[in-house]
Amino acid sequence: MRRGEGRGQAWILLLVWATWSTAFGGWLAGDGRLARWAPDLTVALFASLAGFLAARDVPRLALVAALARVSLSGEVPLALLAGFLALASAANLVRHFVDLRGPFARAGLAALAAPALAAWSEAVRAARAGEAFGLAGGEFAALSFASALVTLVGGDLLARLPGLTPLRRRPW
Amino acid sequence: MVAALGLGVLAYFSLRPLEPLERAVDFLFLPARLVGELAAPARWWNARELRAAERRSLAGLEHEAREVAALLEAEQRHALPRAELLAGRSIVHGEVVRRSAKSLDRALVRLATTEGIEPGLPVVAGEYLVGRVEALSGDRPDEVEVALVTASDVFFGAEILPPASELGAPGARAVVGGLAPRVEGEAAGAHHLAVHNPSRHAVLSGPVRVREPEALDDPFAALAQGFLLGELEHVQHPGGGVLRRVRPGLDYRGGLYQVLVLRPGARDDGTAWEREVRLALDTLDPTRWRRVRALGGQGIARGRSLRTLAAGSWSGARQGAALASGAWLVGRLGRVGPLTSSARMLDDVGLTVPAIAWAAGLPRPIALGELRSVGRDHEGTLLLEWRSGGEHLASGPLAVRLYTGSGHAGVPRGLLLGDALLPAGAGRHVLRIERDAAHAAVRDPWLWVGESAEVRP
Repeated sequence: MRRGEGRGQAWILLLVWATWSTAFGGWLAGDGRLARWAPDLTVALFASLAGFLAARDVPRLALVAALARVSLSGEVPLALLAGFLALASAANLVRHFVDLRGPFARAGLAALAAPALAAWSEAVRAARAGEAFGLAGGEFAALSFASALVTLVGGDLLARLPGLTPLRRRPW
Repeated sequence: MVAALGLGVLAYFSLRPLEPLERAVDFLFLPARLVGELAAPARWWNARELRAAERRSLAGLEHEAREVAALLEAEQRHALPRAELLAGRSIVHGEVVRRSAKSLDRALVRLATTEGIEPGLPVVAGEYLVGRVEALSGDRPDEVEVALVTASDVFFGAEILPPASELGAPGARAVVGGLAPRVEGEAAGAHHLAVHNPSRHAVLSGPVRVREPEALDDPFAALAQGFLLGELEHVQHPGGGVLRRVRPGLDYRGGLYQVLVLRPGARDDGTAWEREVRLALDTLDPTRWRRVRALGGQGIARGRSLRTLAAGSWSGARQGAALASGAWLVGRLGRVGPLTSSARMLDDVGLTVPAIAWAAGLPRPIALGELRSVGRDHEGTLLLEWRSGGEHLASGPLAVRLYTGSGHAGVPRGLLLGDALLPAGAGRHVLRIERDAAHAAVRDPWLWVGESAEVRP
């Protein structure tokens, strides 16, 4: 396969996977028993893939993740766009020092990114409504732990989802 | 460097929204409507539970519809003043739809009819004066703009009666209108009407009612005669002297729901107007609702209670419109994009809804004003914050059923909110709302489109 061949389809498939991950994450979080410990699966997919893509593709990954999230979550699109692009910038910065393909590195990225995105979303809500910030520290800890665990255990699976091979920067 | 600057700009305008940029991003994300359809298989994951929840939520609809109709009928009945205040007048029922974009002292009121309605006609609620019709609304043929008596340019001649303990003592005349200055240390929500030019300075208390001078060149002055404004009270002004003011009998800020416009008893040609024209009770009219499909689950935005709905401004969805399951309010539309909108469910922190409380034994429904969602407690019970002025209950708590009130555009009155214990006393109260979880579980809610439907002139 020549370089670049099939990348368009791969991005579309990534959008499908990101949408399903987001929907499944929402289903888990919407279940009263699991809500507190539900991971952010959009972020888990982002963290699992970020290390395997070329640096220039990471912002595109962020755009895909933001699009999936906008389509289902009801959050402010501009805030999600800013949030995921900030995550992409952070990931590209970190990969100069850490190999994000390793299980612990990507779990660490998810552990930081999931609560950061939740905090950002809440900050936007609070600022727009003129109200106080309303998320408790315990909620961040649970979200961070659950997202990190899923990325640690299932990151390989997420990075190897069918159809994404053309996006990876080097063979396995 | 450029990327960091761009991110900074996006972050800044996320926190301080700029309408054209928001619209541009909404257009950029138009494909999200199609992408949302990719999640369709997610609808199968718990389809059986959702169908059961839907069946349960609709099970009591017939009974609830009767209950809502009874509430709305009672509300209209209790908006009427005593019979002697209606002599020589005909009345048109109206409902406060929203406050004017220009000022809180102006309210848009939807009327049962605008026949015979002219600027200057008085507007009342029960025995209390609300204000005057200022203009017919340019937006909709059945709406008028009402200037409240709290406005700085609205005045009524008034008579201060002696207090009940001093019957026979002389009263006083004055002009009442606009808000009195707030005295330092008073609660921020408290408001009083200003008293101007009292004829006797010795009168410091007593009921205040409208008494326009007979010589006034106002064809409608006599119509407001006798309606109450509130109770005269006096406080020491920090700068010295006594500040007279009227403690209003109505909560002009959040408690105005059902109002009446007073017309003369007869037309100019001498034929009598219909004595009372009531509003149609259309809250549960099926033609005013449209089923909308949810594209995602509720838990994706952490700490929020949001859903994405497959209805946007291009299909008539409007920000703030009510979402219901059966006769129960489940949320309101938040941000509305061209093809999709964000539904804020009732437990989304910060969501506000006007509310009425009613219970067997209460003489009339209580207008509570605005309730604000503070989420759910650890048991999953919905919590709504109520800022009470303390005037509603002498003692409490009282078990009541809560319904939506009027005054928020897009929210019809009378939708069920749940059961709660209403505490007595002024201040901030958090009400625990008991309601069947099935209503929150219903995935595809009904969207109120009543106000965008055709209206009769």
